[in-house]
Amino acid sequence: MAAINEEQLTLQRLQSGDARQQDEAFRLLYRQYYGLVESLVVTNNGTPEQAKDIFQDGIIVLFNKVKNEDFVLSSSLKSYLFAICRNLWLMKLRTAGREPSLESHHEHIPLDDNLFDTLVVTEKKLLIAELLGKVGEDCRQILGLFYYQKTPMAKIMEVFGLGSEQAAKNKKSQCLKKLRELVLGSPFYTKSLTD
Amino acid sequence: MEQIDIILIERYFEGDLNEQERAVFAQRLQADARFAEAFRFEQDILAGIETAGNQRLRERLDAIYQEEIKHGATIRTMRPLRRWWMLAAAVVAGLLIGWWWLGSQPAAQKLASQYLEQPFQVEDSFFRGETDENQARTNGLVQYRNGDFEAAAASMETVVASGTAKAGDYFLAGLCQLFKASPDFAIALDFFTKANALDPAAYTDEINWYSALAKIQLKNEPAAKAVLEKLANSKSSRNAEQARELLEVMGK
Repeated sequence: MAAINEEQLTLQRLQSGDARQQDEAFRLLYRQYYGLVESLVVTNNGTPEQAKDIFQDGIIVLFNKVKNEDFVLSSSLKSYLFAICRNLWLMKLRTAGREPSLESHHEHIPLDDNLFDTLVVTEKKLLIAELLGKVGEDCRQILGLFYYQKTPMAKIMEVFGLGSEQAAKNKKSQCLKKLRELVLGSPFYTKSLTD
Repeated sequence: MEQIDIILIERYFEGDLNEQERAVFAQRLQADARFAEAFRFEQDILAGIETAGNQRLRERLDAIYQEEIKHGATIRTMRPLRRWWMLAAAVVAGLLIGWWWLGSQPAAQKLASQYLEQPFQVEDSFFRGETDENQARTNGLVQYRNGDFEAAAASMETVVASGTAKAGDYFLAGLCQLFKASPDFAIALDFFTKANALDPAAYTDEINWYSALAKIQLKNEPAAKAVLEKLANSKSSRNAEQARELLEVMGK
């Protein structure tokens, strides 16, 4: 029962939109489940360093999936994270030309096909990520908080001392507009479209 | 692209459209090439923001990982099976050693061991508002209160090594040495002495009490007696009664 409550708390923290709370959740995930994933990787032709990367990728995938408030976890967080890391390690082994046969005593968790898209880094994505650094510090933070951290508008309003939620929303739209203009003005982006 | 369409696409990605609006939106994506192009552009923008977010998250996770390793290695990096075997072996070994230790200890040491079974409760106000100044100190306090005395000892050693330790830090560092799985009474005593030297008025009663217990474990009974007598004769000591009990066992 205690474990269930702890998992629920971790999930709530991940969905809080608050970086401090999220960091607490990440810390807990490391403490609780890192050993399990390290064991999986190391006993299946991997190194501790690779285990560290797999676990980090696993947390990123998990976070991008669960951060939305409407996400419903149908298994335990532990099983879900383990299933993500297991798939990541399978993909890594396949890329290296090895046909793995990972034995696992854990329950089978079906995962969405596009779950791992977030880890795919393209030149276009990198270019836009770079241009995000040029919209100004406030704008960069607001866009990151709203779209990535899923921080509620009310909280953004509070953090940036904006008078109302509508003012915060307007500010976010202005920042997004600025980013669109920078991207459209970039010859590299236009080139990436024609490639 | 019209401003109204840009707002519409923005609202779509915020999940702000109702069912009917979403249906119209989907039809328009099929029928209007320029609208579909603007939609893909917005997808690119948001994917770029996500990539930037992931990059920053990696930095955060790296920092958390390093911090966890640095402050007490609380990450369980051992294979679960091996871990359980080691835990079971440690429990059996602990029971055997405890049985031997209690059987062969003089009465005062036995009683002192019993007093040391219950760790000192650290209250919220322990550091008197200083906890936010130093991350290692905060970690040490949290780890201590979670019963992870090894990790707490490592954190407090970092505080001590930083050269900024105050009386409370030395006291907590000493407590960690007393309550960890393999106590180091000499180091604990050294930390208590330093705490007392820095601020003789801070935690005096508790420092005296735990110093006496450490001295008993180090078999320095005369020194322990001197401290216990001070406590036993004090009207305000919270440990007076226990001190009297120990003195009695030691034959005064």
